[in-house]
Amino acid sequence: MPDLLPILLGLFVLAALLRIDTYFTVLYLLALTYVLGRIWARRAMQQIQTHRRLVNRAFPGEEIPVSLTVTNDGWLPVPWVEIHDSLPVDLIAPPFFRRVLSLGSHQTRRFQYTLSCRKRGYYTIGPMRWHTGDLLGFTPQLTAQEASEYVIIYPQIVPLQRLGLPTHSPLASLPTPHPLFEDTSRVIGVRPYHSGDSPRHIHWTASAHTRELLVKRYRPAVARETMICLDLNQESYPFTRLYAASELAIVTAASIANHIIVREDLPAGLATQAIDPLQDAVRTMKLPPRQERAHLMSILEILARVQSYRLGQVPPSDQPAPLPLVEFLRGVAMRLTWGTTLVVITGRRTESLISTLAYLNREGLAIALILIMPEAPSEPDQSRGAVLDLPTYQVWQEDALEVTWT
Amino acid sequence: MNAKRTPGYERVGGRRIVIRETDDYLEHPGDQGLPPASPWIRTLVQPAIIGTMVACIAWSVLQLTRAFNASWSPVMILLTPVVTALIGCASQRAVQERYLSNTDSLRFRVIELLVMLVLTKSFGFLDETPAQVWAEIRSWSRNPTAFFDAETMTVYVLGVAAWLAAGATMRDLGAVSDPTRYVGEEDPMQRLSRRFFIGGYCLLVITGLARVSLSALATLNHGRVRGFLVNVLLYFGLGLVMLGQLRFTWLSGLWQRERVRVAESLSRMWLRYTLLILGIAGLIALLLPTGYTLPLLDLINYLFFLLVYIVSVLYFLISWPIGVLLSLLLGRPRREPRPPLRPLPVDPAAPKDTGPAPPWLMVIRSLLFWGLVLGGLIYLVRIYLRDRPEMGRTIHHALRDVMPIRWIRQLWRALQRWWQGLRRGISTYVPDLIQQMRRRVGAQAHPVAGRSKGKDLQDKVFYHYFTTLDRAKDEELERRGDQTPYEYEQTLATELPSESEALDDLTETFVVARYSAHPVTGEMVRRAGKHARDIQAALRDRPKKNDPK
Repeated sequence: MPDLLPILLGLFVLAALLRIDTYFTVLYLLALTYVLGRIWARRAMQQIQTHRRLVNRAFPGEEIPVSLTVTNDGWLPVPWVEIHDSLPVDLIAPPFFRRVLSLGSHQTRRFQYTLSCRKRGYYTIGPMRWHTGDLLGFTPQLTAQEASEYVIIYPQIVPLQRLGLPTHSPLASLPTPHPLFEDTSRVIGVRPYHSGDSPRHIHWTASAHTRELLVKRYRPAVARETMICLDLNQESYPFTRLYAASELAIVTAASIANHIIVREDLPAGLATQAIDPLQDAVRTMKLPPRQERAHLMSILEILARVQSYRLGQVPPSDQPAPLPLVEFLRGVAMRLTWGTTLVVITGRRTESLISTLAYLNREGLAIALILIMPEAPSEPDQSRGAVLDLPTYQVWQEDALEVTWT
Repeated sequence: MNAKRTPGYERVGGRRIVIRETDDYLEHPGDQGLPPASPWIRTLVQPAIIGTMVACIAWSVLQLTRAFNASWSPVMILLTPVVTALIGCASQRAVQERYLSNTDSLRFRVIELLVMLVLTKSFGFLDETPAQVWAEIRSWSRNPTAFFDAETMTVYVLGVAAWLAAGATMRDLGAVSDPTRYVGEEDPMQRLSRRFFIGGYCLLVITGLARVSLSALATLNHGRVRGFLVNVLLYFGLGLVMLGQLRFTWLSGLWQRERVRVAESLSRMWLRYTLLILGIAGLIALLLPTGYTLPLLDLINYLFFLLVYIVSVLYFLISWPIGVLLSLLLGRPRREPRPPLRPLPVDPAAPKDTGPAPPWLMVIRSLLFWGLVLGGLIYLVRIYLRDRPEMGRTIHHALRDVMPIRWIRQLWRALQRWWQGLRRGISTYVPDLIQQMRRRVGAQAHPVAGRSKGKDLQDKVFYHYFTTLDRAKDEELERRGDQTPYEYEQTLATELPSESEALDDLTETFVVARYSAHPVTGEMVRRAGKHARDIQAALRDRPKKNDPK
């Protein structure tokens, strides 16, 4: 649209020269159309209120309904407004929600769309922008926006059997020659009753069968706590299958944490170094072992947003540089109580890692090493692990990454 | 079953079923953006508007040629540009639709130009007798150049200009509705609006030259030209409406291309709001003075005296009855209070050419004019200072301590506070007052007469239920605020045992209509109406407590 000011000036000169009343009327008409249109558009912009409502946490396979409300708060109608809500491409296609509408005075419009939670992550919803302008195009469009929101999609949780992991030792409680505790959920046999034994431990069925009072024998245990150490250094995983490997590592960590806290009702913690999208930097994230469900959600939130990093390409930040895995493990282990199970999830077994784990084992920690790799570890590695008494498991069930829709 | 879907209706098995949507924006499969524009807009409406705008210019040309040479044919001058503009519209569409090559297109255009020449000449014959026409045709064989006389050629050039402008306008209109058609060219909206304003300037200059002689213009010694020039107003009015619609077409083309869903009612609302804004602007423009206005100081003076006059009238109205009462009580001779002052005459020095406008209209016009001028000036200064914040701060600091400025600011703040207080007061007092009045009216008026039956089936059920409640209230069986419909049904059933079934059904229907998502059917409404009538009749016939029987 051409600039209206020179046109109005020219019209004024013409009207003043010729002194024709109608020319002044035309001049007023054009000027007023411009001014009124401008004022109307600005007022309309101030009157528009938007609100987005959604549940910002979900598991893969779930759907999040999002409700958008656009309200005209004033008496003046809004002739047209274009709403544009930017959305993550991983959750919806096309990755935006756009509508053009007209709002009467104090009118409200509601829209709905659904986000499909296909993969874990920390996603930004928005910002929602809206544009409006005058009806004749004399003034440029006006734009406003609302702050973004975030949605956390937790990682997939699968049964440990599906990952090929045992559902008991060494992930929850390990047998030990120093029985500080007895795990009453794990009966390993019976023995004759001795004076002082708790009547609760009498095995009534066996006693009735043998006609002799017998008490249950429990598996002795010390490690009531489990710390999951997740290695997200890209160099630890095969380059060609980096995405699948790192995602599988995260799924494994989430599944183990879920199993220990929910199924075993035992404390679990998490320690990892990874890129945190909240700060766009590699951060060390540690949650000490606890057994509440809320704590599990905290672990899952961290696992939802972490991203793997490469040591040489760490984004600049004020955070300290990430440590090599062995150093990180030593740091984590320093704060663990004696007998805690340390579950290390990584994609590569190195000599230094085995040595460090062996050292930590000697220091009183129970160790479980989970290797995320497509092929089983080589024979010498396995024999070395066996010699050092380090339970080692290999995980490569890519179907665990498949999302089941609910 | 083959179901044909059109917006708002669905055709199933030959029957047209109305689809009622609670929201226009619910998902419709395949509904992306606006439906394509109706073909008659391009074939009929757009050429008609272009033809009308060309006619507006042609009318002014006719006025101008009459001023110079009255012998030229008015029919030819008026008709040729309009017809050639319509031909231009049609040929542009034909060239586009037939995908003519450059050579074919050139041949097409050349033939059209020749036909237009013949048409121009023939339009000249329309206000001549057949004998005159025959004589002129015979003269062509003796003198072929007589065909190309000055009148014909001048009008023909005018017609060609209209033909070119109309063709280009149609081309740009097509480009606006389909932005992909001429990618890389200048924005068609720019071209169209520029063409509109150039046409407008041409119209204004031609009209001006037709009304004011060149000699008078050179000496600036000419009087005002009064009255409305309809063709000028029509041209600009139509042009602005068209600009609004073009803006919508252009935006909706963009939205369609980006697959943005657009509300179906938007095109209607756009036109409505464009007409509204143009109507308001036009109304104010017509009210604004086009000639003499009261000077600003005189206007302030007048307003001041008007205010004093109103105050003195109020004083008179209050003091006069008090004075009368006091004189009666004290028995003293009554002294008439001083009658109110008369407001000053509007402006005795107004020039004679102000016309017969009444003074109040002149005051309103002057008020509007000066209000707009001062508002525009303040707005201009504000924008200027906003663009230069340092200068704004310096001026602010410099003026902050100047005594009169401080007083004015204090006065302004006091006025603002007073206005805000008044607004708050009005915003709380007026709704309360309205509510009180409604309550009073509701209490006095006949309950049934006050209710609207509504259009929806649901509203009709409400109507039957609530009118029954109103009747019961008249019969001192009012429903308490804490009673549910079912509890109230029990209350009424004890009073009207014969109507217990009707009460049960009416209550059930009301609960379904009010609280459930089930659809209300016509049968339910009919039953509710019948029950309501029966119950109301039973309530009327019910023996009263203080009835002597």
